[in-house]
Amino acid sequence: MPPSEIRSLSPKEFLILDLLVQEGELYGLQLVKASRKRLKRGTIYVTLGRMEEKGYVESRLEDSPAKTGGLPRRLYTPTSFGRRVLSVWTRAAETLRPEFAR
Amino acid sequence: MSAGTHLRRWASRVCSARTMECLIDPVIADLQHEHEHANGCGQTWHRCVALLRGYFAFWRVLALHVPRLWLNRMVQLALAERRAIGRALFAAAVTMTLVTASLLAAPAHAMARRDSLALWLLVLLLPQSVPFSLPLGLSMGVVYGLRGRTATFQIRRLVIALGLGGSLVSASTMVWVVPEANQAYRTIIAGHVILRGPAEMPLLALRGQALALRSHRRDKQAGQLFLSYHARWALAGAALVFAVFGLGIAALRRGRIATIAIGAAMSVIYVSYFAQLGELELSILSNEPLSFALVWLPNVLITLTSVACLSVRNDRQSAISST
Repeated sequence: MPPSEIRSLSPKEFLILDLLVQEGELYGLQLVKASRKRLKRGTIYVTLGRMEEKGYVESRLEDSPAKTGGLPRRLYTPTSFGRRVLSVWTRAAETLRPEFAR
Repeated sequence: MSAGTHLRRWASRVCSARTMECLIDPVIADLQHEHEHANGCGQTWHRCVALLRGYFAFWRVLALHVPRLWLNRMVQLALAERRAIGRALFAAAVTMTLVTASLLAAPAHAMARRDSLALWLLVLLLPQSVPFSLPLGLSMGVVYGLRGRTATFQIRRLVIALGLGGSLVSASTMVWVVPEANQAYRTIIAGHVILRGPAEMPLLALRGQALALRSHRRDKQAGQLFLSYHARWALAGAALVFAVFGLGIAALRRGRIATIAIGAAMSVIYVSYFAQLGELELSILSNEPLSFALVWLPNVLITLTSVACLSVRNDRQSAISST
């Protein structure tokens, strides 16, 4: 596969995947809270939408919508591809860290 | 009714189903969930903060996503309508060249010199032609791009976006480029630095001068300056007006010659009107609202004509579809 076809993983996407792999299934707002202000609620869904297009995460609507008739929230989980990408990037980062530290 | 319902309804009109599903609905769902949670706490300020944060997130999502979405749509439209866009660009370029050439013909003919300095002087006059050549080029480009096809909602939106862009370019030229180019031209002709006249003044200075003249009871001169000041804004708005006019003429579906004749007649009337306006020396024009109305009158009339043409077209289409 030529390098141009390898999908990238931005720092925000890395963080989201990392959080999702740790926690399993999260709402967008829970991701924002878990990220300790590194993710913003105004941009999280744009990033999540892009990650869904890349196949890193998948989503589903929550089972029981709010009693007041509000919209059901969307839950995000990492795909197996997303998990593999995260582990490859983590390993690559660990391998390269001493190189960049020189 | 849950918080954010109106916002969601409004967003569903401008966003695709996919955008609603992936971006808007999750943001609204968060807003409603937080608002409901805050309601449980019972504190008003908590509810207000939840609402404010939710609304801010909603607008931020729109601000980030919509420009990207529109750009993608424009690129898709441009790829799908390559031939029409090529035709439009060609017609716009020819019209702009013709208008510019006709506006520069008289000063070029009057110039005694025929050297590189004369060429530079003509270049300095070029910015003056932009507020006329750009709108007229836009209208002809729209007419030729749309030849034989219906202007869909997407095309109309593109034309209005182009018109707004043209107006911005015109306004920038009128505000920053024209005064400087005119002053450079006069300085070269005079051979030394001279005081700026009305056409060389920046906008604020021009209005300030007009107000000062009016306070000194020099109403005729004040009227001229007020006309000049408002004419700059009206000419800047002309790009949008003429882009819509192009839609109007295209909707009439006349033959090629009739279309060119209508466009050319409107262009001549428009340019002549502003040329005549520049000659007016009436003390009554120191009344600023009157000057404003006089310079905006052609734009208003052309817009009304365009809307009438478009509504006639819509009536015809609805009559055909009902039979």
